[in-house]
Amino acid sequence: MKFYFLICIAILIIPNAASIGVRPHETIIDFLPNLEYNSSFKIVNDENTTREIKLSVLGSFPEMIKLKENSIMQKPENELDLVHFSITLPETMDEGIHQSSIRINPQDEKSTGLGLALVMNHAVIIKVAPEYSRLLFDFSYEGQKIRMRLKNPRNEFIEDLKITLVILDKENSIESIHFQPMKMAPLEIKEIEQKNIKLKPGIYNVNYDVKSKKFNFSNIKEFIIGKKEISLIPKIDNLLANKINRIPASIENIWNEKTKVVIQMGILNGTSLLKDFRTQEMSFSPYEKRNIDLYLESQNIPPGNYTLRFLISYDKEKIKTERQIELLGQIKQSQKIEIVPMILGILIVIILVMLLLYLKRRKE
Amino acid sequence: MQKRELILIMLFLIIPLAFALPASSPSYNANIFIGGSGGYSTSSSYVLDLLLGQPAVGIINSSTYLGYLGFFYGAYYGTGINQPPGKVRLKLPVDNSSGTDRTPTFEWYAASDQNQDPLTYEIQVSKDKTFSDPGQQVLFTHSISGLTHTAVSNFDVNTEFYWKVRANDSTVYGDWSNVWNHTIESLSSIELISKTLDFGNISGGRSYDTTGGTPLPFVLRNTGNIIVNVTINASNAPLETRPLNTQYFQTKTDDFEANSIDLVNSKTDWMNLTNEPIPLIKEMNWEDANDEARIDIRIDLPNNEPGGQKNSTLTLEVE
Repeated sequence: MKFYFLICIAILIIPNAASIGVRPHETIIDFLPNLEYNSSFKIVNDENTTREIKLSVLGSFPEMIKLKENSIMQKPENELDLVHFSITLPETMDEGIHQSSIRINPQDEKSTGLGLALVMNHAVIIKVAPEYSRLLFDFSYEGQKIRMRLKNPRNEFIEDLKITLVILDKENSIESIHFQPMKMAPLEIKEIEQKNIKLKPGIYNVNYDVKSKKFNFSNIKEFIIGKKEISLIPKIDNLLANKINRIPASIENIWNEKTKVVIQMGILNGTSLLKDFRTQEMSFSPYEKRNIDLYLESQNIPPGNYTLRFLISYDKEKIKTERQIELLGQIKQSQKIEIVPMILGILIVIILVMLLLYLKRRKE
Repeated sequence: MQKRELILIMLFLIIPLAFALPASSPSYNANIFIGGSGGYSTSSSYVLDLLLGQPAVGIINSSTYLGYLGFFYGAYYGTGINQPPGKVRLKLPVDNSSGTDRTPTFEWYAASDQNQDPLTYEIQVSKDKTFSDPGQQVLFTHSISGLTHTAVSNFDVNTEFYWKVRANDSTVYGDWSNVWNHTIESLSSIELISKTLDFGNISGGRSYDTTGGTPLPFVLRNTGNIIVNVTINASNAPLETRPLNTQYFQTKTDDFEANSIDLVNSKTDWMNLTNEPIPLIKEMNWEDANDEARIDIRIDLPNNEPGGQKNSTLTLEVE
């Protein structure tokens, strides 16, 4: 016996989804670099219904379009509802026509069974004339490698593209790289790498010069390697209580710019600052390393364990480091004991020398 | 003599002269004048200062010299010196307005004409505010006897255009009206005119579709003023036993009114419904007689599909 299932299949739409309109259906913008553009369109409420309309952006440049509201509520008394949006254009775009859409999606009541929804789009079109499409050039330095990313924004070949990079530390050229002439297909993206470019931490400029028959431009771009740092290495040894202790220290400016540095040193018992010391402002040339003396005054501080805090101030940066130290009452006995045999040894040597001299004279 | 008495005497003398003019003269339009002291010959044409109204060219019918007042008065027949019609005032569509009718109707107020001549009007519409480039920018110039004109061909959408009107009394044009502008906004709009599709109770092992008219397909009308494309997708498979993108849930389109869609590039053969939007209708027309398309649905119901309510949402998206 064969069974047939009887099922109810119905495709229904609810009446308030029966029509939708948008006017105008598109916004066309002629590209200008960094243009801020405000616009609007109207959603038609032919059926005079009440419904929520959700708005969203999709397409090739959704990040450039900002909707004033992400949804609107249509009301029967409003035949037209205005949707405002703004577009911020970048400095350059590929030549040609770019399109995104603002999607107008009525949130009608969900029908049971099979339903039908109507969705409308407002097109946002950007027309980019060839004169505004510039060869895109990205530069980065990482791990002793220079990386360049080039994009031909036009619908035509670029022949004989010559690129020269000059890396400058302030105004001094420290590296100059000439690349082999190259070709680029329409809208091609090229990634080029140059290894073994050793640069110390600091701020640099790369001066890039791009030449072909159709493009001829040069520009300077700043890039930064690492982070500005001041290195402080103190030599802490046998700090005594009730004394002005000298602490030799090595300071290094790990950056390619002149930097002014102040060192503050404080001794703390727990969290309370007992004494502190501050240097004059010191000026360091790029990558200069210098030995200085810091002084810790420990008068009226009893022997014991303390925290020694170093605060290195340069530009608007402050770096704090702490070390645990022990202030000694006097040089430790064990150290004194070590001196006695040395003095005794010297005395014995002197006595022996004198005895040898005496015996030598007696023989004479 | 008092001034008032003098005027009364003149009127008394002039009235009989007016009746002396040939009433059948087609160019008769003014009949009384006051002339200088030089004298007039009857049947000769003169430029005359009319007693009431503007100067006119007329053939003297009769005249009388009032010697003690030092001037002639009399009657004449002939053409008056024609005055151009007045400047036209525009009515609709109002200045700086926008609409969606691609063949808009222009309306203006009747111009004045001192000669009471019958007037015709010339309307000029241009994309250029200065109307200075007739080859490229002036859309049309029409002579019209009434006070309205409806564009014959469709105007471009999203383009600002300018319009102006002037009157003509068959001899001379009056001044152009002020220039008004109007924009036809593009309108992308659709309406489901057949919006319920009900297969009713159906049994497994058979396929059902809307091509035979039972049930009716969806019918979509382009109620805008531009050509649109439509995509379709399904939120999920309505059948528990069959996924989307199979022969069990399909759609296609066709004309409902002739020439409503591009039949070559639209999907006029059954295609599987999917979750992603698929182009269904290409180039859907908007002009009234050719703006309706049908969307057919086909369900192939397998034997093992359990009964009960089936849920899915089809989305028609207009681009």
